[in-house]
Amino acid sequence: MSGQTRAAILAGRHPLVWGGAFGLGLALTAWLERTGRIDWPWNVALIGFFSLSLVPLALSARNRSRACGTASPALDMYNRRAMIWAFGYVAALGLAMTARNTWHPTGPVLWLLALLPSLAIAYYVWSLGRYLVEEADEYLRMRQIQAGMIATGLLLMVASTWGFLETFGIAPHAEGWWSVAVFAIAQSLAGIYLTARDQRDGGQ
Amino acid sequence: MNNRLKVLRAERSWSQQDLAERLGVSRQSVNAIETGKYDPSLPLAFRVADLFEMAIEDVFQRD
Repeated sequence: MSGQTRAAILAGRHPLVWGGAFGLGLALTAWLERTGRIDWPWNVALIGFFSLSLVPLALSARNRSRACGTASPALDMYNRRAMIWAFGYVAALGLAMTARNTWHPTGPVLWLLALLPSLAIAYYVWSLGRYLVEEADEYLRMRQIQAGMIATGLLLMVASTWGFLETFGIAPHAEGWWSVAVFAIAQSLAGIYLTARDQRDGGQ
Repeated sequence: MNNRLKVLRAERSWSQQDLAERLGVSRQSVNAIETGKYDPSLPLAFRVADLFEMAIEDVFQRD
């Protein structure tokens, strides 16, 4: 990769911009729904719309990792799986909400619908572990483990702090599924920190 | 652990990317090893030594 191409990629939009757009979109949808401004099917439509930002997110993440010298076949596969789980999550959530609002099921069917989006999360957790198995580059593997540790720490901090704020009646209730979004964002931030550290310490 | 990676690479006019491709690792890995930020595993250290056709202790030394 030429220096010019590399500089152009690094000067382009950071993956976190797209990730932030996706996260803000989900937060906006949740807020609109919570305050009664929108209801089904507009909430599903909005989530679907904001999910489109996942495509440029994956592409910019791939290009950036190549420009920073952290690309590997396992990382490409991990990014592909990330797209699958993210779109699978949105599709499962939309399907479950649509089915609930259309047929108003109860009992076991309602349970199944409620658990449907968790399948995508299970795939996400599996893909995290699978990456560690498939990554042949030991330094990149160590970096991913470090990013995971940082993200876990940040998630524990955010979740417990929010929980205390909620207990004391300062913050509104937050559903548990937000933990996935917090972990994914924290993992991205950790990746940015580790890359910046590498570059500061003499990366070319 | 100290290493002579940068010198050995310079003697052959290899960039970090060249060395990374020969070792089958990422450029960032070569950089991390070269700057002493990351100590490679024994198998990778042997691969480095084999590539330069040297004994492992001639490439990597104790602090």
